[in-house]
This record gives sequence, structure tokens and C-alpha cells, in this order.
Amino acid sequence: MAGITLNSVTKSYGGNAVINDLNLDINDGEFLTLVGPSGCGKSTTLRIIAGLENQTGGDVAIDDKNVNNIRPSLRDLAMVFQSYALYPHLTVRNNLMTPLRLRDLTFWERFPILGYLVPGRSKKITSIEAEIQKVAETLKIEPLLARKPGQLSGGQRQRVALGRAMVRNPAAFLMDEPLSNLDASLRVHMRAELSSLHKKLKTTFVYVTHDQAEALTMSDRIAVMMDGDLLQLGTPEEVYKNPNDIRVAEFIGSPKMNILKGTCDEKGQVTSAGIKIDAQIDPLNAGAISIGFRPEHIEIVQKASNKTLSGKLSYKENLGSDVFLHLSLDGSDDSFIVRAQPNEGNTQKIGDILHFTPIKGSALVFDSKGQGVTLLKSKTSGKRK
Amino acid sequence: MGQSKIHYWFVGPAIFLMLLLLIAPVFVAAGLSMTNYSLGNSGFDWIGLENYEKLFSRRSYAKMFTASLTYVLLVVPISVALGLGAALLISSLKIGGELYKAVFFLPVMATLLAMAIVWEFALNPIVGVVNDILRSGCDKDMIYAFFTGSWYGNNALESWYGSSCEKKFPIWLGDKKYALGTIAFIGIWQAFGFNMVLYLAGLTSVPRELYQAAHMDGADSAWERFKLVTWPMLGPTHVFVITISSIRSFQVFDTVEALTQGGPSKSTYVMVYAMFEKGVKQNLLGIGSAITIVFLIFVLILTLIQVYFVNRRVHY
Amino acid sequence: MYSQTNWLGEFFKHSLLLAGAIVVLLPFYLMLSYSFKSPSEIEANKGGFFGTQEIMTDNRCIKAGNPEEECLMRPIVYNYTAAFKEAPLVRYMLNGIFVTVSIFVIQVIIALPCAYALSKLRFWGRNVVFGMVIFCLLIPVHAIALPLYIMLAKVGLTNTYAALIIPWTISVFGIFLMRQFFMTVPDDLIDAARMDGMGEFSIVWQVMLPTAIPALLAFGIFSVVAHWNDYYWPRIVVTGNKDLMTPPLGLRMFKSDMDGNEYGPMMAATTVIVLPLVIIFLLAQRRFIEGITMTGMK
Repeated sequence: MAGITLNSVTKSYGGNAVINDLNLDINDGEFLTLVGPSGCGKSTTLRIIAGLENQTGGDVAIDDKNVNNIRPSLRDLAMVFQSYALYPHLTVRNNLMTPLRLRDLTFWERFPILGYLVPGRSKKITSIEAEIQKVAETLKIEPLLARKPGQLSGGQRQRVALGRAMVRNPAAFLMDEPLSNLDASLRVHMRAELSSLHKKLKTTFVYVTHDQAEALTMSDRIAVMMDGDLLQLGTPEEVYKNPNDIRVAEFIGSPKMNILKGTCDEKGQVTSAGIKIDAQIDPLNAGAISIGFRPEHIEIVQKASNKTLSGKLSYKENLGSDVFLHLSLDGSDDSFIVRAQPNEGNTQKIGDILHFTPIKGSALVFDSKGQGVTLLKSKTSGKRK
Repeated sequence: MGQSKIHYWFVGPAIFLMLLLLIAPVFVAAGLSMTNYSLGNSGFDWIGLENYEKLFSRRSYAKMFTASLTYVLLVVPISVALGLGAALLISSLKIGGELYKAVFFLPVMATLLAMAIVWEFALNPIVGVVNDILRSGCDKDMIYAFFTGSWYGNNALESWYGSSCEKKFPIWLGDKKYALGTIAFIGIWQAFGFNMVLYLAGLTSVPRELYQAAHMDGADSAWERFKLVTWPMLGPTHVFVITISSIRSFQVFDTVEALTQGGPSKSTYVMVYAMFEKGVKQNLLGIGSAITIVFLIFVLILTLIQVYFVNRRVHY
Repeated sequence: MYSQTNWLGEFFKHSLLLAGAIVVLLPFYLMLSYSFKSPSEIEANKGGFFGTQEIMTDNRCIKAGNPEEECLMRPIVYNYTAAFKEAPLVRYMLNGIFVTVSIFVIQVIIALPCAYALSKLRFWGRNVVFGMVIFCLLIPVHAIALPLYIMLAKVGLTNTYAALIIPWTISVFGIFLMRQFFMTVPDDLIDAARMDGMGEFSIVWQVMLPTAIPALLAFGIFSVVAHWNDYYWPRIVVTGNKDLMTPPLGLRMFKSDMDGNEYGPMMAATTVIVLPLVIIFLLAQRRFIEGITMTGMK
């Protein structure tokens, strides 16, 4: 078990920077998710931790030991790949065995035929077999041990790939979009399994995904990356409730957060489309700002007033438990999405003009540079952390 | 892992062998083609382009180019057409396709030199089975009428078959009128199965939906669908099959060496055989190398034509 | 819909193909048939496929001074024993196997690591090396046989096994084919092997090699067929020494040594040389056709 520290890590390919000055402390035993859109540098970060890629600058330490010049196999990490990367010519048993054979057996013990003559080999093999048996039981893949990867379903391959990582008892697990090749229902199921596996193993998990839902459901902490920068590091709740950057706000949460253009006057009062929003911020931010509303923080009201906005219902997205109403607002190209209860949402008709108002204190305000700004309750204010 | 030097060990041997066995010989040939070098001689003289002048002025080399080009022009169109025809027929069969495929592919696998010897026996003017069969048709009225064209009103004796029946059937490999054609026939016999499997592979890559769409669009006859879908979709295969068979038939050697040795009167004196005869048998390495270089240029031109067509993507 | 069978059309197609098949099979039929028959049957074109197998006298055996009753035998026995007696057919076959197998093994040893480096390792000059491979694809080895022959003669290697093998040790086509195949192998697999603790050499031979079996098989078929059947190159570098001859060259020798009308033994020898590949082909037809087409894309 180990914590992992990245210190001012940079990476560029031929002058093309993909990671800019990344500092990241991954605690021992935590489930940390690197999330971001494709090309944000999250996979590269993982591969740098693994040692499959050399960083251009900075240091990587595992358990406070600098591993910059240590080969991937000696870093005591295990990795689960998106395409599973099982050896197609080996049975499941031999796939699981490979990392242990290479680590525990000497060159001569691995030598074909002659290897059997080396004393002590059979004892080692027995302990390897036992390890495999244990892992296979945990993952419920014992019946598959004699098969080859080609004869397995996607979900089964996924388990074998996990198993191959687990047999090594590594200091940390690295996972590169391990669920993205599975179908939707299996993916949701595997999220729960991975979480419980993490609780059982109590080992560090570093998990890379582009799916914000995976990040929110499984992680202890989330690191949101974009364009090679680490934008925010925090618990799922923090990142969802208090995004410190408008890009984080828009990336995390589904459906997407609604963003309205607005202004802040000298008193710190926020207005949008001539309506006063229930939000006070530091007057230092006076000028153009953006205001974000989560779809679940909007109320539909019967009558228009000076506290309501209006939009025409253009589309209804019925998910059964919820209905998302897509409203088109004057002066905005994006539709404004409002979550409604089914009985409420189903009565609305396409083309109706709806009036709505944000729930008190729910608005998120971002300054002209996209940085989050805290709402004033008392007189203290500042950048949201 | 960029800084490891392991790749030297991986590509080093290959690079060394490529330089030694493929690239160096081209330069050796180019150099020697301007000399009068012979193995065993201690020295040689630079004679400039004299070998090339010989190549393009002497009658025997004119015959060489004629023989090679005629051979290619006979074998390529016919073996490609037969290959395509066989592929189309086989792919449209309900049953038995696999069997024909195996049969037609057999000559591709079989040792050409050995089969050439069998063909020589079959084509032997006295004991050969081919002339035997031809002769046996002469006294069967229906066959005679069909092949001479007399059923159509032609004068039987003026036709090839009729006059051959009167006198005798040709000495296929010993007659300069027939020898190259006979060698080409063996070439076609051997090569068309190869073209067939390439076309079959091309045909399977044509999406089924396209044929269904053609049906929907009103292409009702098989011929319409062939014109609309099959032929254009086979574009890349055509380019490939034609160049590959041209290059292969340029290299004809086994049949010529075993059956005619360039004769009679140089009618089958193809380039690779000339290269072998001059360079190896007569130890005239200068002129042999000159033929090598000309031959390389021919192959290069063929390949460039292929690359041109592939890059232009004329096929879709 | 359009699925009802057009019987007339089917019949017509089968007749065309059958006619083609007869021409294609004719020499194979003759080869087998002649190898069974007595000289008189061959000359008179009698005896059907198998001949009458009447007891015949072996003239050569009598000339050698044996009593006549020892020289009586069935034509089929005569043809095949004569083939093996008069030409070192077994030696030819063993030479053929040795040469083709050596060529293939060396080709793989050279090509596989190179293809791996070209597809999966990033290093300076990779594109130059690949460009060189592509360039070399343009050079047909048949065309440069003469300079190769001179080079081998200069180092005194003509009339050796080495001369039969060396020019074919580098298969740029093999490199190209394997590289294309390796491009389709996910990088993840190699990364996983590195995480598991394999070095680059182990990755080539323990991960890439087993993964590449289908492509290697195709290439193997291509290589073995080409070199078993090759006549041109052995003809150039082996002169007179029967101990080194490969099957086609040996057969050619047999033909020029042949006195009179020894068609029977000649065809028996031909059958022995042609049959192995044909039988393997018929047993693994699909693989062969796939292999040759895949590698035909040269």
C-alpha cells in the first residue's frame, strides 16, 4: 500500500505540451479518479505513474520514494487497461499467472522444460497457484480458468483483467477507462463491484475515466483535468456543489448545468436578463459574470413575476422518474434544462411558455475569467475554494 | 521508453541484410553493366554504355524484348479475364464452389517446373495426348463440323482445324509459330487460379447491402448489378491483379528453361532466360547485368503505374 | 423473392466450370496415369488411367546381367523404383525440406523483431527504416539474381547450402506483413507485458510471436511454397552437384539425364515431388488460399 505523489510533472511531445505542471498527492488507500474530456492528459498522467511513459519534467514518488528511473514492473503497481490487454494465446489461468511467474520465478525456473528441474520451483508454483485460486474465487471466475480470452464475454474479460492486476498484490491499482468497453447495464453493475472491491482490498486505486458519472459514484476524491491542467481536486460532493471553475461546473453533472450571462452591480447584486437573481457577491467582481443553475435547482411557477424567467418548451426528455424540460430562452442558443417531477412535467405541452425561478441560494456565480465566486451570506467574500 | 537502445538490435540485422542482399546488388549490376567482366578474369574494362547499345541494336535482343512483351500481353489479359470469370461463376454457384476453387488453385501450388515437364509430354507431337485428342476429332463429323466452321458454311479445309486434320497437328514447342503461345498457355494455366482467389477475396469485400440497394433501385438483371456494383467495387482488385500478374509473367523462366531454352530461333527468348543464359551459362556478366537493369526498370515502371492508380483512387 | 433457383443457369455455369476443370486437371491426371503405366502403354496411349499392369521386363536390369525372372515386374513398381534408383529423390526431398525450413526460420528471426520495432517502438529514424523496407519491396529478387550470384561466387559460396539460403534470409515482404499485423495489436497488450515485468526481447518472442501466429502461418505457407517450388535460383547457384539439388532442380537433371522414353519413371519422380504440397494443400485448403491471397498482396 502506498501513496503516490506527483511533483511539478510536465509532459510534452515534440514541443506540444499535454501536461502542464501537475501537482497531485494521492493518499494511501484512497480511490482517486482522474476525470476530464478526451485529450485532457489524464491517461498520460496515469501512464507516467505506471512508468510506461517518461515525464518531460518533475518527479513521481511512490511511498515517498522517487521512481523516475524505475522500470514499470519494479514500481509495484498493477494496471487494468481499457482493452483489457489479455494475452490472447494464453488461458485465463496462464494470463493470471504471467505477472507472478515473471516476478517470482528466476530465469532458469522459467526456462522451458529445464525449468522443471530447478529445485524449489514446484513450491513456488504451488504458492502462485494458491494465489490465483484466491483471486479467482474473489472475482468468481473459477469456471473460466481453462478458457482463452477469445472465448470470454466482455464482462468476463474485464474480471480477468482485474484478476491479473490483483494477483500481484500491488501497492496501487491503476485503471485506464476499464469499464468503457462494457455495455451500459454491465458498466453500472461493475461500478458497484469496483467500489466494494476497493473497500475490501483497502489499496490505492487511481482510476481514469471521461465519464463524470463513474467519477461521482465511485471515488473518494475526484481530480478534474482539462487541457493538461488540474482544475479541481476534491470529494465528489465538493466538486459537484462547489465547482471552482466554470469548465468543471459544465463537465460534472448530467444533464449539463445551465449557464446564463449576467452582470454584477456595484453593490454586489447579480442580475440576468433584467431579473434580480437571489445572489449577492463581492462588489469587486462588478461587471460581466456568468451564473450557473443545476437543472434540479429550478422551480416552475404558475405566474410570471419580477423574480421569474420565461422560456418556450421545445423538448421533453422523459426518463420515467424525472422529466427534463428543455426551454429556449430569448437571447440564448443553448436550451435551459429544468428537472420536473413526472406528474408536473407530463402536463406541459411543447410550445408552452413556462415561467421559472431558481431555488434560493442555489445559483453558482463565475467571474469573467470563469473562476467561481462565493455568494455572500455575511460580509466575508472571496474566491470559492 | 524512448531512450532505450534496444531497437538497434531489432532493426539492425534487417537493415544490414537489406543493404547487402537487395540494395547493393542493384548497384553492382548497374556498375557491371558498363564493363566486360567475366567470373574468373582478374580484371575488366570499362566499356561505358556499349552493352546497352548492343541490347537496343542487335536483332537477338530485339527478339528478346518481343518475346517478353508478347508473353506478358498474352498471359496478363487472358489470365485476368479467366480469373475474374471463374470467380464470378464460382461465387454465384449454389453448390460446388469450394471444389472448383480448389481445383483451379491446384496449379498455383504445384511445382511449375514439374508440371511444365508433364505438359511437354502432353504436347509431344507423337505420343502426346493433346494431339491425340485433336486428331480423334477429325473423323467425328459433328466435332469436325463444329471446329472447322463448316456447319456455318465455311470451307472446312481453309480453317486451322481442317487443314491440320489434312496434314498434321503442330509440333507445339518445336515450331516457332506456336512455341511462345504454348509457353504462354502453360503460364495462363498456372496463373489464372491465383487471380481467381484474389477476385474472390475482392468479391467477398463487396457489401451485401449494395446488391440489395441495387435491387431496390431497379437493377433487375444480373448484368445490370454487375455494371452498377461489382465491376466498380472491384476497382482496387483490378489494379492489383493486373500489376501482380504483369510482374509475375515478366519473370517467366522455369517453363522456358525446361522446354524450349529460348528457341526455336529465339521465339521464346524471354528476358529472365536471356539474363540467365548470358550471365550464368556464357559468363558474359556485363551484358547480363545490362539486361538486369533494363528488367528492373520495367518492373519499376509497372509498380509506379500501380502506385499511381492506387493513389488516384480511380476505383471508386 | 429472387431466391428461386435458376436451374438452367446453374447447369450452364457448372458446364463451363467443369470444362475449365478438365483442362486444369489434365496434366495432373496424365502425371499420375503415366507414372502407373508401362512404356508401351504410354506410347500407344492405351490402358485407361491405371494401365493394365501386365508384368513387364526391365531392360536395364537385364543389361546389368541379372537373370530374366528377377527383372519381371509390374509397371507401377518399375516406374517408382526406377525413379528412386536413378535419381537421389530422397536426397532432393531432404534438401528441399532443409532449405525451405531454414529460409523460413531465418526470415522470421530477422523480420519479427524488425516489424515489432517498426510498429510499436518510437525511435529516431523509424520512418527512414520503414521507407527502406517499402523501397526494397520494389526489387524482385529474381531480377537481381545475377549480381547476387556474382557476389556469392566472389566469396566462394556457390554450390553450398548457404548459397541456396542466404539471398532469401531477408524478406522485406515478411517485415511489411508482420508490421501491418502488429499495427492492429493494441498497445495496451505491450504495456501490460511491461507492467508484468517482461523485457523487450521477451515481448517479441513471448507476446508478439504467439499473437502473430495467424499472420505467420500465412507467411509461412507463402514462403515454403515459393521456395519449395523455386527452380530459378537453385539452377543458378548449384551446378552439377547432385547432393545439393532441391526437388525441381533434381527433376530437371533427371529429365536431361533420361535416355530414350523413360516417361514412366520420370512421371513417377514428378509425382513424388509435386504430391507433398498438393496433399497438404488439399488438407488445409482454406488456410492455403487465405495465406496465399493475404500474402499475394505483395
